[in-house]
Amino acid sequence: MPEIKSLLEFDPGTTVRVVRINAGRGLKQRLLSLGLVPGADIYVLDNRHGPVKLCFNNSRIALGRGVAAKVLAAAASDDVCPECETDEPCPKK
Amino acid sequence: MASPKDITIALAGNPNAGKTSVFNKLTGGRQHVGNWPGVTVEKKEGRYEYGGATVHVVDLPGTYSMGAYSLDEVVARDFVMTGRPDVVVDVADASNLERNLYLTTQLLEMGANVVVALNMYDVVEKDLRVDVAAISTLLGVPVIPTVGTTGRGIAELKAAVAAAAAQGRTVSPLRINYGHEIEPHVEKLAAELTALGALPPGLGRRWLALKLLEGDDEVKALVSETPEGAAVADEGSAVAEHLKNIVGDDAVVAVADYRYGFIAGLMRAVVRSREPSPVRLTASDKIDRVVTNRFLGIPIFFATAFALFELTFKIAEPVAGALAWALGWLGAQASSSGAAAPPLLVSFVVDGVLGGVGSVLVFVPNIFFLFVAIAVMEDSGYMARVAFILDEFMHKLSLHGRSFIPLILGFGCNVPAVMATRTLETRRERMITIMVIPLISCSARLPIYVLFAGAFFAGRRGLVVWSLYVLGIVLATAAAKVFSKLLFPGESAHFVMELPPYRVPTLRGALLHAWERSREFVTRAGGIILAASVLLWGLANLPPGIAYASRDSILGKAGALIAPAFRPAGFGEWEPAVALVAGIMAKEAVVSTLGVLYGAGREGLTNVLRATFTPLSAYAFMVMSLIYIPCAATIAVIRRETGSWRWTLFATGYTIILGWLMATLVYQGGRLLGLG
Repeated sequence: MPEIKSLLEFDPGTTVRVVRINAGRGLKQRLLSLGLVPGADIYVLDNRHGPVKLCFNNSRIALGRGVAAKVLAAAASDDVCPECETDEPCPKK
Repeated sequence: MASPKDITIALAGNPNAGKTSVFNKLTGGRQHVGNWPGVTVEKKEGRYEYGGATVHVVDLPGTYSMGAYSLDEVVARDFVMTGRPDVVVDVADASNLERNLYLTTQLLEMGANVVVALNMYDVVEKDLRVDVAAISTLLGVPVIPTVGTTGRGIAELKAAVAAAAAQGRTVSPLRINYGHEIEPHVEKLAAELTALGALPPGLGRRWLALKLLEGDDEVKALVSETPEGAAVADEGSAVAEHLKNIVGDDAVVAVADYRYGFIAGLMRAVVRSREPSPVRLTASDKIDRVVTNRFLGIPIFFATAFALFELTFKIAEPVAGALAWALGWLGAQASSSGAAAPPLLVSFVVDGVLGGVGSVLVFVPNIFFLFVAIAVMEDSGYMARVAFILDEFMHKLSLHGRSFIPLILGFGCNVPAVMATRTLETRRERMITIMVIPLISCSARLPIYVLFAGAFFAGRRGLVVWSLYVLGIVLATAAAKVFSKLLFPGESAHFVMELPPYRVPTLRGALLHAWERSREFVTRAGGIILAASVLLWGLANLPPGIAYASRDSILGKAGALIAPAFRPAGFGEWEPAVALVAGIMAKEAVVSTLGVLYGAGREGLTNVLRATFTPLSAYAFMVMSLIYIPCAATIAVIRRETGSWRWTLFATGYTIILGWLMATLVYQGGRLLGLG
């Protein structure tokens, strides 16, 4: 069982699977409406400073660090971005 | 002539789905901008003629969902729920279909008469082959491929809208199965809601039931208001609690999961070829690597902002100059042709009315070109990156990254800065930003600094002027912090933002946006500014027979009356007090009024000032000029944008007090240090 941790704790260049969103209803709904649903695979593009930049559903979404801390995820098996439909890794910074 | 029935349609869609370009192509850019009743969210309306009928188009705020997360969502949802538009055109980004369909499914569940505009179709045409007919069949509504930027598909869209409006909603709302835990409850609640009868007809009962299960307060209130509705609403809340225990999370999450499940199924059916295209890092990602780089991001932003500013003012200045010249010429004509008329009347027309019109119009070139620049930044996608790189810093002030743009605009002119706060999502963010903008030193305050710094600090002019700008920034920062703690307690807005792919902005779109903003400023703030100008003219020229703004004028008397209040700040004479009052019209008027009062030209003024002020009191006067009261135009737009006289008064009041306190602090502190 892979370890579950917040999005802040994943390195750029990893694909993670959303497990849970620990936020109030409003924020939760906003994240869900963007496609950040439990079970979704998302690719962490950038997570070094400032907002965390994610890649899923063929779009780029930035989450403030406070928001990213509330999204729990587990490492997914492969490091490609399935939602972007790339057969090679998403751009690594 | 009997004409077919006029209809109202609403445009819904995700932000960045190209809704604005579809709106412009539908309406030909003729639009009317107002506010949604009671809130500060912008309402854009337009119309077009089709088949002899007028079609009114209401542009809903861009949203990702029909929840109640932001004011935008509430406004959009209320209009679909209670405004009952004949047709809702859902502008969906074809290149990002899954997420866009999330909104579509909700519109359908709500029972809206939907026509889908599959926008940016040109992007998907090439690689993904989307079966448009299949989407239409599965959703049960017309789907029209469009390209908003070129106008492709707009004629077909208009035809589909007319057909849908004529037909009315015939298909029953979309039914998504929400699984064995939730579905039975949805069914039961929906049946009970149907039995209530008093709810708006055509509003999807299953959708209402879902919202009750999700604990949506607005829908709960809507249901509770109907006779016997309270019981159903309470039942909904109870079931929501029950579900939370079973599912282990809010019903919201499970509902979203099933909705995406439905969409995923639909996608499998409609996307014909899914050969993995050789996707690499997109061009946007490559640009982002540089533009949002930890070290380069902020310097690039400042360079861009500076270049845009320079360009804006370089273009706007001659236009403003030409306007001022034309008004001067008009004034001269009026004076000479009215030679026989009483001088007071001539002065009223020339100085009061024409002067007032002038002070409205001189803002227009600045506003126009600044908003061209903003539109270019916004439409290109760069604005989202600016928010991205500055969020960390702004978060420390309990503000959102987006608040930075209005603040920086304030250095040019506070008026467009206040207007630009509309891009902020929450009321809290907007109000705090609007309240601190007046502390940002606009370009009209510079002449005051130049005059005084030149007269008293010849060798260190640059440093002195720079220190005032810094003081403004420091105070704005501190005020933002204080206001967010005291006036708007609570968490700052969550930073959740899409970084759309970069696009080449269209000139037409930018000009249209700028034109709309300028027109709005003239029509909505112009009246207040004109009234203030005429009032000030009256104060300076009455009672009849006195010289302009002299000691005997009402203004002069008022100045003398309030002057002692400025004694602690080191400038207790009546002339500076009058100049400060006149500066409320426009801050640069402080300089011209001092010139009139001391009866001296530019050279002479420097000498008179040296006789009246000490360097220390001069600095205190500059501090006062920086902080006290936003100019009449800024006050007028604050009133417009906040929709509240109370907040307008607050902005006016706190800046006077803060200005006085700071000026006094500088003067008294300086004297203690032996600088006086």
